[in-house]
Amino acid sequence: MKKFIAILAVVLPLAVLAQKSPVDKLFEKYANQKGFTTVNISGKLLGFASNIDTGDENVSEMLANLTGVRILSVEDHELNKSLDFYAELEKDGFFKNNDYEVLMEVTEDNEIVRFLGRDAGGNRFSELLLIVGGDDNALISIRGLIDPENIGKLTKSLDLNVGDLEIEVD
Amino acid sequence: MEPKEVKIALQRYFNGESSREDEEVLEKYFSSGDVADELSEYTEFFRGIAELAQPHPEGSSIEEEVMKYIQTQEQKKKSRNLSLRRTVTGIAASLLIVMGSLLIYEQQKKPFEDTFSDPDKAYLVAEQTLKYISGKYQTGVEQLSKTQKYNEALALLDKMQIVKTAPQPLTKSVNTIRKGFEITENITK
Repeated sequence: MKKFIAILAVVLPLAVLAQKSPVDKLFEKYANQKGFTTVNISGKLLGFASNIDTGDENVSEMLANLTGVRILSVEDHELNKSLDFYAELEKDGFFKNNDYEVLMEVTEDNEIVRFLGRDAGGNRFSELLLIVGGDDNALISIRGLIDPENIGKLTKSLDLNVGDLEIEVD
Repeated sequence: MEPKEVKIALQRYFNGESSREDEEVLEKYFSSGDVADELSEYTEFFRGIAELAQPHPEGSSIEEEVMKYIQTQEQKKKSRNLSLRRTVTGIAASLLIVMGSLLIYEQQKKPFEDTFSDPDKAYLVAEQTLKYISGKYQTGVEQLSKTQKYNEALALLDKMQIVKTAPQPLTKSVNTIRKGFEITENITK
């Protein structure tokens, strides 16, 4: 019995650690489903990509510090009407118990973009999560070492909608 | 044997005064099968006594038998407990194995697979994503700074209103003093 309790004491915390975050769950739930676009770019590929000479040093520098990019967007208009990632995350208790910090909410015509960040110390973030709601639904997560100042330095592309991302899956 | 003799022996037996011979006589009589009706009620009793008095085939005494019985009962209990323990431990162990394998499976399962194999394509999408984030970020910051400016302006307005309202009592008192001076001037004239 004692042995059993000892093993349980070791296994249970591991099991808790292995639990997926609501964001991961959402990505997995809708990944590769009809009407959704999922993009995953690993840190390794980002490393290669950052070496591509495109003339935009800011982008290359940022990419070099990233360990992963994930995008989940809803392409289907009908689905967009019925879906709300923010509400789903809220239902899953994401906003109650997580280590994300709400950075800001950008409200525009028919769109609301919520910025959440995981603090990495020194005014930097280890993950930046964008929850896009409104007419379009999308989740964008970039992980690595993110300096908000660097994001501000990039050429902004306001007109770009997540739904317009040119994604050609191999 | 005469029932009369048996009766006497019986009396002695129940009074606790019987000799070994008396007891043998009684046992023999009651096990003979030829028992007088009036004495038949004792037949069962003496048969039982005779059986008990017979040496056990294995040579063990009643005490030993009783001990053996108790021991087997206890062993049965123990073995029942042991089997229960084994079942519980077995279930627990299987649960642990299942949990462990699930854990390993979850950990081994890659969080996600690369959508692209071509770094050029990955670059394009990552660049677009970063620029999109940048766009929204800058809009957010602009919105924030607008709000900040608005708040600053409001604060400034509040201050100005204080400046405007502050001299009112002052001008009132100045006017009163002025009037006072005018009156005294008229009097002196």
